[in-house]
Amino acid sequence: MWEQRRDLILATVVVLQAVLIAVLLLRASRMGRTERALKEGEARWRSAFEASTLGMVLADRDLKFLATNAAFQSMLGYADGELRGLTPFDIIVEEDREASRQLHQELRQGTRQRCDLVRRYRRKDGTEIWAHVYLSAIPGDDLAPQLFLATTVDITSHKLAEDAARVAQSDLARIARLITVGEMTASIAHEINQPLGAIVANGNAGLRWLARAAPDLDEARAALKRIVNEGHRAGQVIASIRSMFKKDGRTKAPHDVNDVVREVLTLVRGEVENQRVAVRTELTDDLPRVLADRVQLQQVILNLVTNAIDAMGSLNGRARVLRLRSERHASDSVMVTVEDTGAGIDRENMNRIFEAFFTTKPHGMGMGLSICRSIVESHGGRLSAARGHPYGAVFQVVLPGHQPGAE
Amino acid sequence: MMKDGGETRSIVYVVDDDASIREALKSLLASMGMRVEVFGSAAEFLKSTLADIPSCLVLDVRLPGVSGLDFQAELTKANIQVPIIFITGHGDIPMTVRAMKAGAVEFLTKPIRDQDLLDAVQLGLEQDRGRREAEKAVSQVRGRYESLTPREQEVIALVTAGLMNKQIAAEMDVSEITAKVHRGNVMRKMGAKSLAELVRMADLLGIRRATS
Repeated sequence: MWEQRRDLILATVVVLQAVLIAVLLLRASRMGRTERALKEGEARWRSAFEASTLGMVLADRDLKFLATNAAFQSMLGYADGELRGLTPFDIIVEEDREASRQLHQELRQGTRQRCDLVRRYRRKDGTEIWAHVYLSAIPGDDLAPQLFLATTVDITSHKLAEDAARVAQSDLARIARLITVGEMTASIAHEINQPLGAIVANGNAGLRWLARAAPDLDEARAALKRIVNEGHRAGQVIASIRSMFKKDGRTKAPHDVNDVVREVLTLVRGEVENQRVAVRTELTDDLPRVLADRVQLQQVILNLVTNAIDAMGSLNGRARVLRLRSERHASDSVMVTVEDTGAGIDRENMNRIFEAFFTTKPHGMGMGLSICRSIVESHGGRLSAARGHPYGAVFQVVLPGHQPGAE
Repeated sequence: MMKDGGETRSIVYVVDDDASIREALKSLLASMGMRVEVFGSAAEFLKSTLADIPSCLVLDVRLPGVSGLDFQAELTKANIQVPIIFITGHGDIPMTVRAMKAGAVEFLTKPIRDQDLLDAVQLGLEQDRGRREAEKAVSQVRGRYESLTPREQEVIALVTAGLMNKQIAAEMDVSEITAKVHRGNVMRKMGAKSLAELVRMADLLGIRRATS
């Protein structure tokens, strides 16, 4: 049997072996390819990360840099090793840090998955660059901790051009505003000048009528009467200007100051973002309503908020924080506080800031706070200013609460 | 001090849309002895018949409808020659320059100093009187010239061009005696006491032949 079947058996074994070897070989070669593919894939990802013209950063939960690519390193002038272990807060310029911390909190807590922001970074050589950062959170699980991936574009040149355009634009806006105020002044001046001109001409006419060889008393009397009339006319002009700033109570209605504060914040959102101001609001619910002209109240808050933002506009090396607080005051009143971290108010100017035409702004008219105070007072309230601690300015508006049925 | 009626042979017009300014200026100018007529608008002034005596116009730069400066241009176009004194509540330089270039006498800022107004008005009236006299003189000379015979008109052109009697005679193909007679008639009819005066008249009329 063996003799007879030997060839066949051998042949079968050989074939089986060959098949086995083939299978093993095939499997081995498959395994090698997968491993290679894995390795190749990772290398490809890494080189994509490395070769990207965008700045790429992988950071841990605390935003510590785990890996950065060449584009990011050259953007900031650091070597790879120098960046590892740093956080964005080490390279973000001081004024922008506070706003960034808030965002980081939100990403960490998962209330936000991704965001994009514009920040100024300080390069190793001390110069500043503008960066547009797209930040996304990579969720963690039991095995892997949460990570952050940031893609960064250097937008310095773009930003500089934009800034130049904005300066031009705000100059334009200021000029436009000045013209409007100038026109108003011219028109007021004209209204006052007319009766004044008539008074002077009538006065001179009266003197001349009396100085004649035969004094003309009737003409002189008529001139004097006209002087009296013109004096009254001038008084009316003044009264009408005053009433422009002091409306009667008919337009007043009960309002929630928190609504007004929120409206104002919506109005200034663009400015807040431009100036990279962090806004903190502490609005107390269930406050008494205040009887007010809504537009005027908005003007007051808007004015205080704009002043606060302006005051922080030239800050260097300090966080720009705008605080808005509403609270109950002396049981039946409402107090709104507007606080900034700006340069504050000089002690000697403290008493003068509410005066008309007093200003510390290079292009200010000095009317804002003066008008604010008269508006608040026409609402039976009080507007006061104080120096912030350790810096900045604090403005407080106190308005009496509205008592229904007390009208 | 001005005597009553010292300036009644002239008239001051006031155009101002503000009634109280109008009344005040009327009283002031009247107290200075001026004859005054007031108007509330440029249109009102244009509609009225103006007296043919020396006059000037006190005009508010800020008139409703048409600005004082535009009105000034309109008057010039309508060939109404009246010296203008502008008053303004807010004298700005470009406006002043424009007005003065267009021939305004003065530009006064409210409230007006009465002496400034008086000076300006008198200057304006003086200018208008001078212009009127010059115009009168021209029309007088023109009347005399038109009374000359065609021959005499020919002679005046030649005489004032500096030609001697002999040359005139040759030019006109007449005897020297005839030329001399014509010349004597021209001098008499034109009322010229000297050749120089005749030359001036010819210049005024623009009839002097160019000397060749």
